[in-house]
This record gives sequence, structure tokens and C-alpha cells, in this order.
Amino acid sequence: MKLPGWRRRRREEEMEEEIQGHLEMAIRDRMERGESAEEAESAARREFGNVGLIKETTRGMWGFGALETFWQDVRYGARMLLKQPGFTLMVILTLSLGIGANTAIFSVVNYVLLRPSTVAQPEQLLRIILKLGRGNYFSYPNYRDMAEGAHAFSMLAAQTARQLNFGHGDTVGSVYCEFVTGNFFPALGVPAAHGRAFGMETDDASGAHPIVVLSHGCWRRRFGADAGMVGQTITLNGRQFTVVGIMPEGFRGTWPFGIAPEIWAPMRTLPQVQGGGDFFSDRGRGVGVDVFGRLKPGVSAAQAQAEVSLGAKRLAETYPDVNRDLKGAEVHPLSDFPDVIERGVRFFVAMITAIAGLVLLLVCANVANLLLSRAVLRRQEVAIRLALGAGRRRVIRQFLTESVMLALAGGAAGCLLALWVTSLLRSFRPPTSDPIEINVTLDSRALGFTLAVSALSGLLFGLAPAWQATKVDLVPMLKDDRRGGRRSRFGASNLLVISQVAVSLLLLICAGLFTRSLQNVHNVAPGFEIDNALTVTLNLGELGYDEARRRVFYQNLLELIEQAPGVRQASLAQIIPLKTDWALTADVAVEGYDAPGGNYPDILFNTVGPRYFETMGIPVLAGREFNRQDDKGAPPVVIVNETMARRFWPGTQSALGRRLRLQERGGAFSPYYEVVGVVKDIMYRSLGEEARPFFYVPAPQNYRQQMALHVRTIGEPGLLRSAMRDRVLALDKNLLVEVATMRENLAIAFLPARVAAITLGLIGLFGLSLAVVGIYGVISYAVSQRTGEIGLRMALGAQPRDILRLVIGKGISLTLIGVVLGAALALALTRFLTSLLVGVGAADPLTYLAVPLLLTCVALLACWIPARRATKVDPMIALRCE
Amino acid sequence: MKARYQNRIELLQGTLDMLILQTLQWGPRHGYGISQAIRANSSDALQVDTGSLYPALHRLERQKWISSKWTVSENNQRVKIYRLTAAGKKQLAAERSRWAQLTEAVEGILNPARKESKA
Repeated sequence: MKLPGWRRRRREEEMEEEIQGHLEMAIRDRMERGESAEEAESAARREFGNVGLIKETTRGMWGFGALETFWQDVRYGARMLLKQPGFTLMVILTLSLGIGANTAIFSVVNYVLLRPSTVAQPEQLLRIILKLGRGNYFSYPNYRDMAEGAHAFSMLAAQTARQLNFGHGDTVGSVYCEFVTGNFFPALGVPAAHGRAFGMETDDASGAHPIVVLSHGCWRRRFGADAGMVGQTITLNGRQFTVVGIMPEGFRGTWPFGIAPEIWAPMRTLPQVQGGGDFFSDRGRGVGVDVFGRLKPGVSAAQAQAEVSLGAKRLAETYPDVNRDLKGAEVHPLSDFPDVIERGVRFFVAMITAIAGLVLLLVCANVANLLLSRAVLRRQEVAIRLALGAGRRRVIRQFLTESVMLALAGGAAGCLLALWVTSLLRSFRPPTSDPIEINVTLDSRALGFTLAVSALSGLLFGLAPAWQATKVDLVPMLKDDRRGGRRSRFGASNLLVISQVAVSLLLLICAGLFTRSLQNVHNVAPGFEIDNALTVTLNLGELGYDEARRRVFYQNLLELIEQAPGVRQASLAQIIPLKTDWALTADVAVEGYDAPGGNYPDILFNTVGPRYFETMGIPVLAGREFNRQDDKGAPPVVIVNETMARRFWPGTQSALGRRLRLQERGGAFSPYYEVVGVVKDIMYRSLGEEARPFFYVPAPQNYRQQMALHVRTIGEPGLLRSAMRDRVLALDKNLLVEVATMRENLAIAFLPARVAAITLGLIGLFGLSLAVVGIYGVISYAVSQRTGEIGLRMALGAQPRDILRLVIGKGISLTLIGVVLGAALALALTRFLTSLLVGVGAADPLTYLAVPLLLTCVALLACWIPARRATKVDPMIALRCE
Repeated sequence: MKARYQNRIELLQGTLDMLILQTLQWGPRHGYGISQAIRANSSDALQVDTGSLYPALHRLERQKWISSKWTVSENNQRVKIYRLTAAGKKQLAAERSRWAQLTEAVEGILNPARKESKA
């Protein structure tokens, strides 16, 4: 609220007239007492005092004052900020970047770490882990028996995940689907947002319920949140399923850390989309189901643990042959996750959080620096306002109003930025079909926190210079325009610059280390040729091919593909290396090699077709590779890798002709396989893994339902995509094929290092720009403060070169101190990053050389601009303004 | 100059309002007149600082203890004169009694013997 303009103007005029009247009467009285006109006037004015100040105080009595002066402050502040658009923009930009980046980061951290899937009463939910030798999975029969004897739980549900080909209309793709028992949704206690979730009726062994429930994220991303999706059909591996429901946002099933299946289907429909009819009957299966349950009310986790242990013991006793490795069972809260992943994720998140905190610190330091520099430049203005009668409190309030305006503008821009970043993250999907969902929404607490920090820093750093600026001695300040300030303030801003440089250097070194690591990852030869290679993944399971038909199909396929133009050669393999986690293992009994206590080593293997090694570019070190003669009926043969040959036999040559037997999934031992070749090691599961024993068995001796064609092309592999698809479909148009280049397959292997490098690189760049702004601010302030001195020096004969040296020397000495401190800090802290780095030490000399050099160069540039300005100082003008 | 300065007494906090109201009790006056009256009636011992006078006048007017009006003075000059209101009279009485209590209390501290003998 404020006085209407005309009333206000009248009051002003009246006050002016009243005061003038007072003065006139005083002068008249004095002249009547015999003083001369001049004497009387000056005495009266002296007696009266500071007219401006009196007016200001009197105005304060009119009421509406607080709001009105606030409005005045705001208008004046806006004018001052607009007068220096460069400064204003810099502060707002810095603040908005800081606030935006931090809010986005904390929103991600909050989503990943702190926000579990929304389920009813999560404290009652326990996961049951079976302690088996090989994997900690339940087979379906084991799960059924456990569920029957589990009285502590109101229900035990099971789930198993599959990656499937997905189709709807013209869109096809790969989707991560969970097959769940009928009590899955009842146990979690979450109703569907649209339609319905399915229930116990789907446990009917006939599998007569081809229905699915979609996750909210799947519905939004794949179907554009189409309200009419319920009731429509989609295909999974070519089978039709009806969508019956869509789950609410925030429901991600049972897994922590943003792992989110997109589709849930009844477990009994699993055989329809993927062969393996023994899923429900094979008690010895290595990969089965994950089990969790909801405790009955009033039952403790300890009681459940006791019951589950008993159940596991009973399983081991009742089925000693298949459950011989069973060593008990454990219950864990549903929000827990296997140790390794949990530690990795938590570490990464902690690191990101720490870095975000550092960036926020930098932002605050920068804003403080800019405000401090400006406050000193405004000493003269403050002195004039004080001399004209402004109260000290009023001036301080003015400064604070401006700081808060800046903070608010920065905050608003930051909010927009955070919104934009989070919406980008929402639409981001990792370049794989893995079920990772980063469904980040702007976290209001994070936003509030960063806003509060920046506003507080604005207030604090606005207050300090205002306090100091109003404490000046007016007379020298008015006479000497710039140098009335105390030099101690400059000391504070020196400290800010040094710490800024140090922190930026720390960030940049982290970023540098990860970039180097990424480079190494790219340079790491996986052991096979990744260029000009294509894979075509096929699954014959659901099409009812028996062993004989598979054999014919694959042989025809290979011929057909090899005849295609642009194809050099082709082979088959069950698993594409580095694409997915390897689940294919067997116990190996090597002839003449004692396995203590019958503990046969568990070794990874792959099933590969003829000429696989030639196609993949893997060198054969000894013996031969598989050929067409290694067929069914021919003597079983095996090829081992170098590490395996060295482990069991003295060397590569001596491995040839040795024999071994295999035992898969707790079944019986196979007949003896003879080693016919030794090949070089490749990376199987992840880049940078340790060398591990590995062997290959020939595909023609055991064709699998799911195989991937490996094609070596003559040119760019991506061009052959549709040709490959067409040729496969020509053999069987019902097949679902997934064509990908080898580089695409490897994307997931590169992902963690790439994400870390990009994130840290961006943050490091951000830190660098903040440091540059800081250095620039301080140096240009110093230059403007020393204009007179520089003018004097030039008048006395200093060359521009000397002035440049003077100004830059100052900036560089600050930078160097910061660099040394930052390097020491980085050396102390980056030791903790060692586990994330590939092929580069935490004290990598190149990084420690290049990054400080880069920072110093950039700092040099930041100093050079104001230094150039200093050399342009006209000595005459500079001296005259003294 | 120096002697005169020493003769001046700093006004106690809050007494200026009372002095203004008291001065207006004797009739309406303008700002300059009020300051001159206070000075004259205190034999030049009290000098009202204009920096306090005008804010005080405007404040008292806002509190409706005094009212103002523009008139023409004997010198044919337009002046703003202030007049005591009914509420102002009541306020003056209240302030006078408070002042009496204050001076009595201060007196009691400064001259304890006299106080006892009175009792």
C-alpha cells in the first residue's frame, strides 16, 4: 500500500513550504536582532541542520512508510541492477546454474536412494533368499514347498524376469517383463491406477490368462499415456496379451534403486512366450524365481527367519539329490539389495552428492565475491546518500533488498533450469532395454534447500559490505572516489578466489580422471573385433521347433546369410559377449585334476557355431577351431581359452587332447569332451574384468532355442540391418528378430564409465567457469581500484607491458596458490575413486599436469581482459580523478 | 559560544512531546513559534533540535493529539499552525502526571534525607 501520488506530492510541497517558512522566520528574527542578511541566513541554516535528513525522518512519520520505503528500495534496486547488466546477469546466471544443477542432482539422489517403490506397509514385506551353492534362486517347486509351510506369512509371492520382444501396432522393441504369481499384486497391496491388477485366478496351470499389467512409466513412454490402452492387445514374443491394467506412478514392483520392470504378466503364461516347459517341474533349475512374502500381523522378522530356515532344511532333506548345495535361507527387508550393487550405487550417489555440495559452495563464494566487489565500488554512492541524509539502516536495507532481489531472480531461473533438467531425465532411457527408470520429479525439499542456501548467502554477503560501506568516514570518501575502503576486505576476496580455484581444480581433476578412464575403456581391446560386426538374436522356443528342426533351420540360415551381399562370413553363438550378464555356467570335471571334496570348479562357457573364432576375430593359439564335422554323433569336442589351459594344464600346447566332463544345473555329468583348440582370452562379462577360465562347446552338438547370429560385414554393419531381418523372416515369418551392431551391444558395458565421465565432466566444466568468473571479478575490481596508481606509473614511464605484468602477476599468484592447495586436496581425496577408474591411477601424472595447466591458462585469460583495460588507462584522466 | 553550549540541556527522551503539547496549551502556534516558545520559557536553557521537532509534530498530528491548519501570519506569510485537540489535552495531563512521578522519584534518590524528614 502506498499513498496516492497527488496526496503525496501535496504533502511534500507542504513540508517544503513549512520548512522554508521556518527558515525565513528564523532569518527575519536574526536580522531584526541586527545580523547582516548573509550572517543570518548561514546561521539559521546551520541551526536548522540537515534539511534532507529532517525531511526523510519527518516523511517516516506519515505512516505507510515501511511499505513505501520498501517499494522505493525495490525500484531503486532494480534501477541499480539494470544499470550494470553484466554484473546482474553474471550473478543470476551463477545462482541459477548452482540452484538448478543442485536441485536436479538431489532430485535424482532422492529418487534413487530414498524413494522406494510405493507399496502398502513395506515394513511387513520380506525377501527370502535361498543359500544355494551356485545361485540364490528358488526353483518353482522349491518355492511351492516353501510357500506351503510358511505360516508366518500371509502369502509368499514369486517373480521372474525376462527380456522379451514386444509389439504393438507398428512399434516393436525389447521389453523387460516380470512373470509373477497371482498373489504378487495382493501381497504388495497396490491397486491399479486404471483397469485392474490380476490376482490368484491366474495361477491356473492351463495358463489361460494371457493378460498383462503395465507400469506407469511404460504406459507413458511407449503409449503416450493413452487412456484407451486398457483392453488393447500387445504381443510378447509374438503371443497376444490383453492389457488389463496400468499401475500408479511410483509403483516399480519390488526392486530398489530405480529398477523398474515395464510389464507384469501371470507366471503361468511364461511357457507360451519362452520354451522350457520344465520351468514349473524342474526342481534343480539354476535360474528360477525370486520370492518375497508379507508377514502376518504381529509376526516378527525373527520368527519368519526361524520358519524359513526350517523350510530350507526340510527341502534339503526331502530332495537330497537336487538340493544338495542348499545351506539354509535368509530373510531380508524388501528394500535391501544384493551387497555389491548396493555398495556401488551408494558410493556413486555419495560422490555425486559431495560434488554437488562443492559446486554449491563455489556458487556461494562466487556470488559473495561479486557482491563484495560491487559494494566497494559503490562506496562513493553510499557516501553521497549518507551525506544527503539517508539513515544508515536505510542504506543497509537498500543493499539487502538488492541482494534478495538477485537471489530471487537467480532462484527463479534456477527453478526453470531444474524443471528442464528433470524433464530431460524423465524422458531419458539408457541405451539398453534394461529396466532402469529414472522417473525423476522435481524434489521440492531439494529445491527449497538450495533456494534457502543461495538466498542466505545473498543476504549474508549483501549485509557484510553494506555494513562496512556505511561505516565510512564521509569526508575522505567524498573527496577520494575509490580508495577510502579498508584493504582488509580485499584480503577476504583473495581468500575466496584461492578457495574457488582449489575446489574447481579438485572437480576438474576428478573429471579428468574419469575422462581418461573412459578413454582407456574405449581403448581396451575386448579381445574380439567390434567394428563391422552385426548380431541377430533369434528365439525359436515359442515356435515349437524340436531339436531336428532347429538343426535344419540354423544350417539353412547360416547359408542364406553368408550368401547375402555385404556379408563376409557368419557364425552362431548362444551368448553375445559383453552384452548381458553371463548366466551360462557348468561344473567342470577335468580328467586327472583332483577336485577337493567333489567341489568342481564352476566355469563360464558359450555355445558357438563353426568358424565362430574366425568371424569374431579371436586368434586360435593352438589346435583348431570348430568346423562342420563337429556335428551331432561326432566325438564331443571343446575349445578352452588361454587362462583355462594354463590353470589345468602346463600350457596351451599341452592342453590339446586332454579331456573334461561337464555338469549343468546339478544334472548328471556329460560324457568326456576332448580339447581340440586353445584360443586367446576375451572380455566376457565386463570391460576391465580379470582374466578368467572359459570354454566353448560346438553348437551343432547341442542347438539351443535361443541363438544369435554373428555376422562379419564388409562395410558399415548398420546398412545391413533390414537385409538381415528380411532373410531371417524369409525362413519363418513368425520369428521375432533383434538386429544390432556389435557397438550397440557394447553400449551397456561402456555405460557406467560414460555416465560418470559425462556427469563429472559437466560439473568440472561448471566449476571451471565459476572459477573464471571469480578470478575475473576480483582482478577487474583490483584494476578499477588501482586506476590512479596505474595512471601514475604510466605517467612516470611504465610501459603497457609492465602494467600487464603487474595486474596479471596478481591474478596468477592467487591462482597458483589455489592450484597447489587444490592438487593437494585432490591427491588426498581421489584415492577413494580408484575402484571406479579403468587403467588409470588416482594419481595419474597426465591429469595432474594437464588440469592445473588448463586452469592456469584460463585464469590467465580471465586476468588478461582487465589487465588490457588497465593499459588503456589515460594517465592524465587517471591522475585528474585523484 | 562555548558557554551557551554548556548552558543547553539535552532533552530527556520522550519529554519533547510533552513540551510541544504544553506549549500548544497556551494557544495555536507554528513550528518555529513552538521552538522559540520552548527556548524563551526555559530561559534559553532548552533548545529544540529542528531534526526532532518536525518529525515529532507530524507524528503527534498522526496520533490526532494535535491538528494543523494553513493560515497567514502577521508578516503576511503562509504558515502551518498546530492546535491542541481534546485527545491531546488528555495526553498532556497523562504525561504531566508521569513527569511529576518521575521528578519526585529522581528527587527522592538525589536527596534521601529530605524525603525521610517529610515522612
